[in-house]
Amino acid sequence: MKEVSIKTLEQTDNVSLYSICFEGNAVSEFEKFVQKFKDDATLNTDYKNIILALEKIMAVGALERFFRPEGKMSDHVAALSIDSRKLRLYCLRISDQILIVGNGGRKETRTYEENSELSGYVMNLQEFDKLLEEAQKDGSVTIEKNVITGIEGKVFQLS
Amino acid sequence: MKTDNHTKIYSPILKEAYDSITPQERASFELNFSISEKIYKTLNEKGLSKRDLARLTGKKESEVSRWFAFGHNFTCKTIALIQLALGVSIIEIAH
Repeated sequence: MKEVSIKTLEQTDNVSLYSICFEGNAVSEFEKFVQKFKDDATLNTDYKNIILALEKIMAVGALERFFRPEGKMSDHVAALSIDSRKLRLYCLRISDQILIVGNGGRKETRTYEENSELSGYVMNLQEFDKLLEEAQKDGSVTIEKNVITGIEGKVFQLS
Repeated sequence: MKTDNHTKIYSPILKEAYDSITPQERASFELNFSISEKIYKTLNEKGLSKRDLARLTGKKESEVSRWFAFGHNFTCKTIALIQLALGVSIIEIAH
């Protein structure tokens, strides 16, 4: 079992940006992604486009058309729609106003399922997505506009 | 980075990432994003789909999809093709 909590990265009047953080880790999954790729010369253009895309999303909203579905029809897992498509950042697009960014990496295979590292990131998000839905159903977490209430300090158990 | 009073960045790592973007990189991204948004709005106004745009421009749907992805770098040649296909001006130069 892995314990995971949610960390607020940024908030604007319109959008909140969160990431997931595993117990014992000093930084969130998205922050690991930044640390991993910020100095990678071969993926620098993609990395910067991802950062600029997040900056834009924080201003205009996490609109559906800015993402490509990556998980199953029933979940919220998506990848940011970046032109070159070599670097992937996986996210949970909960709504136009709430985005949970996870980890990502270089995509060298046709689908993420063929890469154990990327499929691990996607599965973590899929599992967290389910737990978040359950928490909403039992009332311990509520989502309204750009705020998730009851999430600070809450620990989720991933298998 | 661009900031205003209504933005709160709690992650120093994210802030550092925003700060690593040069003004030229941000300006180029903004220009391309504006062009992409203009095309998207024009399609909506005309009741056209991306598939229609592919047909009208003679391009593959996969290529047209890239025009709407973050960071696509439009060439004048592509903009001219889209303008002719849609019958609108996507960018205008002030004289």
